[in-house]
Amino acid sequence: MSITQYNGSAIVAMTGKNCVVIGCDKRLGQQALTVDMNFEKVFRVKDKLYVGLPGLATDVQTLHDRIRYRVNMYDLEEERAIQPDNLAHMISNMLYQKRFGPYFCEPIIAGLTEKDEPYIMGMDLIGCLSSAPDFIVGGTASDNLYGMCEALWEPDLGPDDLFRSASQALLNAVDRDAMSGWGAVVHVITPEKTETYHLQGRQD
Amino acid sequence: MVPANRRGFHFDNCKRNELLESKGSITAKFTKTGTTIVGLIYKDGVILGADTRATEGPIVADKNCEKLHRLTENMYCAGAGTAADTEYTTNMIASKLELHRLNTNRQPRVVTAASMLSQHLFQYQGHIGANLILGGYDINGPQLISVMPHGSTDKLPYMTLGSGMLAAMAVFETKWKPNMERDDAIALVTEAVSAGIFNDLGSGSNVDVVVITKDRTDYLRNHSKPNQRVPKQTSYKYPPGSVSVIRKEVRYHSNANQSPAAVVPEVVMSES
Amino acid sequence: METQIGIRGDNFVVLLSDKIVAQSIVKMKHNQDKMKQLNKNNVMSVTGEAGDVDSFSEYIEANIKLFGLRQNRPLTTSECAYWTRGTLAEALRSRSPYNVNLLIGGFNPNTKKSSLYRIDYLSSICEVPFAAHGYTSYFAYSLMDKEYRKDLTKEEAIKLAIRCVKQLDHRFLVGQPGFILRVIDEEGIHTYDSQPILENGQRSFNFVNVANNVVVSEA
Repeated sequence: MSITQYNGSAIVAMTGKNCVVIGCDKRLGQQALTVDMNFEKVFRVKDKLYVGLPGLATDVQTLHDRIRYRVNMYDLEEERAIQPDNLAHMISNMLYQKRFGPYFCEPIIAGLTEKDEPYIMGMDLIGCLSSAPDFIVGGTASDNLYGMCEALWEPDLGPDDLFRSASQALLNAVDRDAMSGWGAVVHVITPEKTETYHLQGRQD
Repeated sequence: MVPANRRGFHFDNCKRNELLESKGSITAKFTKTGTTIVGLIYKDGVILGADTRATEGPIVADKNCEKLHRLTENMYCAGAGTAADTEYTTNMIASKLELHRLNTNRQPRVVTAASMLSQHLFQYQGHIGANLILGGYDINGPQLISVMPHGSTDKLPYMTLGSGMLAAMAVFETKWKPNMERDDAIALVTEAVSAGIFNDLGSGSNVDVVVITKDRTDYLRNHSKPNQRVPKQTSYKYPPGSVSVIRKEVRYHSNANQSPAAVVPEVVMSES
Repeated sequence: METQIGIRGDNFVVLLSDKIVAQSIVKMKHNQDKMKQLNKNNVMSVTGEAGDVDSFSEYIEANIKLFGLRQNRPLTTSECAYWTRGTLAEALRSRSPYNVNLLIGGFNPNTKKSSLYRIDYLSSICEVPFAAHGYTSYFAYSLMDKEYRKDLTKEEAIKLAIRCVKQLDHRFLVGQPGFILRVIDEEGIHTYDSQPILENGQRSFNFVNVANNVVVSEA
């Protein structure tokens, strides 16, 4: 078994018309044993900028700590809000520094840019950035999520439609993955506000 | 806490990862480019071509990635292998070349870039998995040099690399000739990359081309798009109310893009 | 093979652990207290590799006490837990990693709320209503899943812990002869020792408050 599957996770980010959605499952396991059903893997960085960290839980937490530290330092040094692409390259660099002893985590960034354009970016565990016009997925349910998202995503969805498409993609994907699930959290980011939905999911 | 400004590679996780591996877990996959990359020399310069598929094991991780990396105005580098390595290696060499250009006030030469790449890769003894085709035009005319992960280099008039190299080389071996015309050469590069796209599973999607001549460089992003997706025939939109929500929180954004921002979330109970 | 259970109520936490120190197949000690009192309101229970348990828990205990003296206020449970996690995570990346599993439970006198943190040897941390580590978890989690309620009283929580222990004694191949149980609440830390009893031919445990000899039994 791969170490990235030790704790279980599923994260999806999707773009819409002037909005983005990022969501995750809530399970924390130790292989087949479920330890926590309230373990969120998507973190708020700024008002319109979120980062999802699927992978080994200890690295998810260490990386989140380090991202928070670096973003706070950026705030103090640059005196301006960090933009999604800046954050993506910052995290990518942090990961590539550990090229030969990586963190087992494949971060996903979702947010709105200065001009309120949707931005999503994914990367592998050593920081190779990969962008997509539609969606980025990660975690143990990523194969399932690819399938769901390819079917459900369509261009220019509004926040409500996008929320439903992303939520259904996530919920249905984790239902076919033993390592993730136990409910989900979805953040819908629009220029005015971010809505956070805690979803009902299967408890098995 | 690790200081943010410590330079170079960090090895602090190695001990722990060794421990994890010894407990029987397999370390994770990196994104590979899979890849067909090609390059040839024609009458007025050099042309590089690449497909745009990135893979993670059997999964297509990126359907339209960029494998042609700009080093300088007169040099490009096509990369195959571990995607992060090709990206970061070429970026670093590009920065070094720009500093070199500013220091010497001369156009950087292709051999300079080739030496820098080869020395860097040799230093890391093949652990940096970058397979590169370097193409450029300098005072010595058009040049095409390949650099392998262990640091070896080759200088040839036409070459292919990556998992689709055999398919692409079959095309080159059949149709390449010296002193080709520009349009014919672009068409041949496109055909060679297409051979990789259609016959190699690690390569796919579109063809990127860059044409470098004495006084200009043309980057033709997605020059050929033989795998366009047809519009979906059905929409799979879910109707309102199809997702059951336990709890909803709303966080209103403070004045756009100001750095300090924290509005107390308003908690709403709802069943959407 | 070691037992470690934690149950969090609204304003108290119950921690339970066994007392065995074993080397290979030999029991070396029967009365080892595997918990450390970090300060007035926080307790940490530790299992894992023998040497690591001692050196790590002593290091954590001493440092948290030092923090308390320097800042002139006791650390809260979350502060204790997250600092411990950070220390463990850093050690994990060094030449001498600690192989320890932890439960940290405590009461916050300012908010009047209790909390329980579970940290595993990879230093993943999570705040949970109930927790267990090791083989115990396979027996205890199902019982706690079924019986846990948010409004559990102290007595009910102790009884739930007793039921977990009874289940272990009944079904787990490796029997454990005794346990220590601690309740952390507004008044401080209460320690209970186990007392085996025979109930219709089957063994169970009563827990006796060490300070006043008050007995809590399952019934």
